[in-house]
Amino acid sequence: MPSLSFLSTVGGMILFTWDCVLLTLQRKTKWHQVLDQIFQVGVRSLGLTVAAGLFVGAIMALQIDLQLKDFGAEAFLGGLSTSTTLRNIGPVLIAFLLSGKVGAYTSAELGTMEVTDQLNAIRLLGASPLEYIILPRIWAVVISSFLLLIVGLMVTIFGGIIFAEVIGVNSLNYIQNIPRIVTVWSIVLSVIKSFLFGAIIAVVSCYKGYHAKGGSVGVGIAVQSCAVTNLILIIITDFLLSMASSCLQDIFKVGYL
Amino acid sequence: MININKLCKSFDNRKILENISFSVVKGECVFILGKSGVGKSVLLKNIVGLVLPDSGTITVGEIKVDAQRPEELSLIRQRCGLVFQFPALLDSVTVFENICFGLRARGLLTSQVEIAARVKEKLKLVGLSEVVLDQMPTELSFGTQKRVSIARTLAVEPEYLLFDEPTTGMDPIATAGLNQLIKNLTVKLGVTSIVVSHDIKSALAVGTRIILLEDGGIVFDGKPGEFKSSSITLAQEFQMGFGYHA
Amino acid sequence: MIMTWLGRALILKVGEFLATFFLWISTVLSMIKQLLKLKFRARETLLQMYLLGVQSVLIMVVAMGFVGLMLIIELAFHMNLVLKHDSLVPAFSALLMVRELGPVITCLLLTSRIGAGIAAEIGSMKISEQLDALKMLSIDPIDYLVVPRWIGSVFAAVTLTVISLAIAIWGGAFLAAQKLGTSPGEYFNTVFFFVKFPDLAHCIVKSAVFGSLIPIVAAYQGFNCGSDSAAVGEAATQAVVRTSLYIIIADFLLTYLFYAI
Repeated sequence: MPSLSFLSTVGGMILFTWDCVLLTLQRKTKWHQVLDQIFQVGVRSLGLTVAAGLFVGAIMALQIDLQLKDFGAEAFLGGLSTSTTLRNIGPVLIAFLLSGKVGAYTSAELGTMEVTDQLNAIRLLGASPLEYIILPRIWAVVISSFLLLIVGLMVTIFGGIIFAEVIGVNSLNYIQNIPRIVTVWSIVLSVIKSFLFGAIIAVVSCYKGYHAKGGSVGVGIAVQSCAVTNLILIIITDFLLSMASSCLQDIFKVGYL
Repeated sequence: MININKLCKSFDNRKILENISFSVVKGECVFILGKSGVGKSVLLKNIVGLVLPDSGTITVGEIKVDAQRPEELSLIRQRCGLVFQFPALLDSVTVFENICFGLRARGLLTSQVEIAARVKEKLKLVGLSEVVLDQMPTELSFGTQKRVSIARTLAVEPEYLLFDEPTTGMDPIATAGLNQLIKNLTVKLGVTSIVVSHDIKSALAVGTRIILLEDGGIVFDGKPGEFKSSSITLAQEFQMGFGYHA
Repeated sequence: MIMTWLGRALILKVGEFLATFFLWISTVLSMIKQLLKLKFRARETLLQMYLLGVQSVLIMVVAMGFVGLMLIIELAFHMNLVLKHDSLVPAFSALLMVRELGPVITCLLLTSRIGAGIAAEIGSMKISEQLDALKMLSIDPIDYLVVPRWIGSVFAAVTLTVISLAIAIWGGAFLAAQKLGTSPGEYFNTVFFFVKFPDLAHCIVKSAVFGSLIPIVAAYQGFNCGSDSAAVGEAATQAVVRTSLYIIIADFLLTYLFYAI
């Protein structure tokens, strides 16, 4: 039963997260290692994030313009494309790319450590791999994915502006239209989404890497199932957050949540 | 003293070890021989609690191996150093950090001078120069990595040394050096060692006792001299394959 | 210093891109050759269609179902904000789904589902010297390994996109009835009025192009896999990252093409 094994994976990941939260509360995190990792992850993935942001912004500007033409509402292009990108498409697509770049990388690294007995060696030498290897990586991946997503989302705005200019929309009009539709709450929502997606990538990739087994083939399997689980969880979380925001909007009777 | 009593272990309904019982007293150097896949490595990992038995008990000194008691398990792991079949060096830190990892994690030595002295001492013991200390493990050859891994295990000065196929993948000169090292540790420092191997030449040269495993059970347990004259088929095959293995 | 570093990085990336592109060309040529010689590896190809396509149906359906629901909620929000009414939500969401999110999200999911797997498989074949063994038997690895996967992946991408689009639009109908009070009849009427044949053709072309990228990039990473224990994981990771980026770029180019037409 694939759905059953998916559920048991999710359960395992919740317990895993709980262990990590407990260790963090006991102040077992080595923050200088975390900083070191953040720097490595960030530098490695910045180029990809910027490229992805630029293209995603451009694609959305093109698509939304195409559709608004069908309905004769081109005046809203700037705001509508920026808002859709910031609230949904941007975080999801950039998180997809980061789940490959950051997540799959981390799970491959940890999986290699597991199948070459490095984690066992740490256990034998009297340290806990969870504390020494996993904890710094989880925090580093959470923080750096979050920061990269924010950077990527900012770049999408520029991508949109640049391509609006290319297809002949006055960029001044485009920019002026942005604050009319993008509300503070939209930005808050996209920041919350970015953080949760970062957390999902971190937990899934560390969990999958930590539980890899069976030689170099096992590492390949860990990478694959890490990428798939990441994507599915990101999509489901995205839906749940949008749903929550829409419910809040209904409860408080406001139009901008 | 390591005492193994009626140990059973199976993976996916395939029985690997069945009713294994033996004990190792201080100062012995026991070689466990057997064909590939007979469960020799699993036996070693059982002793340090990395693999848990289906039934049976293992005691190291006075302490029972029990995963439910992390403090006692940690004590056992401090007393037993296991050298993995593949080097298992942490590839994100330097050779120096690898060797002193156990010292720092257990808080055995605190002053930097003492740690550095200990690391250099163990490095000399495995026959490496200090040049490698600042290198990363991936820059070294397999044989060198393996020696660093032995130095890392020796650094915490364990009472029992468990080797998992120590000479696999090493050239004959390094093999001879390693055999000499195991012999020296046993004779001079009084370390008790258990060596899992299929290298019959090393076993006859270094071991004080040989245990032969076949189909999950012990088929021979005795001195190297007795092994040579044993009438068991597998023991004879091992010795006939002598030239081939060396 | 930073300029030389950037220059080096750029040259390496472009070189890799060109090499991947050549692999793409030679795969297509080799497929045509197989077709002309009638030495088609039908059995293997069918097996790959099953492995790559049929076995991915479940996760696609689940994922795209959620995307369809999410799009309705978000577009209802935007339409209420901009036009103060939400009658255009079904059409808008269906168009965005068909032209953009359907192919892209399905193929990104497919990338992580099969791209990593293909790279890991070919990578471990290389490590265990199976590729050399094939060459010794004078069998071309591209003929033998890449072509069946290529056909299987294109097939999988197109069919899965269509299936998941159907699920997503159907899911949208359900949520639109609940949230917007649009009856399913009304919903499908608007959708069929606005979604026209060029949109569907665009969707199919996009998904075929994305699907044809996945096994090529993965196979390239597998063929160039190193020999240590970390290499297979590295190849799988690179396959996922490269393919996702290429898909985004290809999506941009195709959208622009469609826009220009």
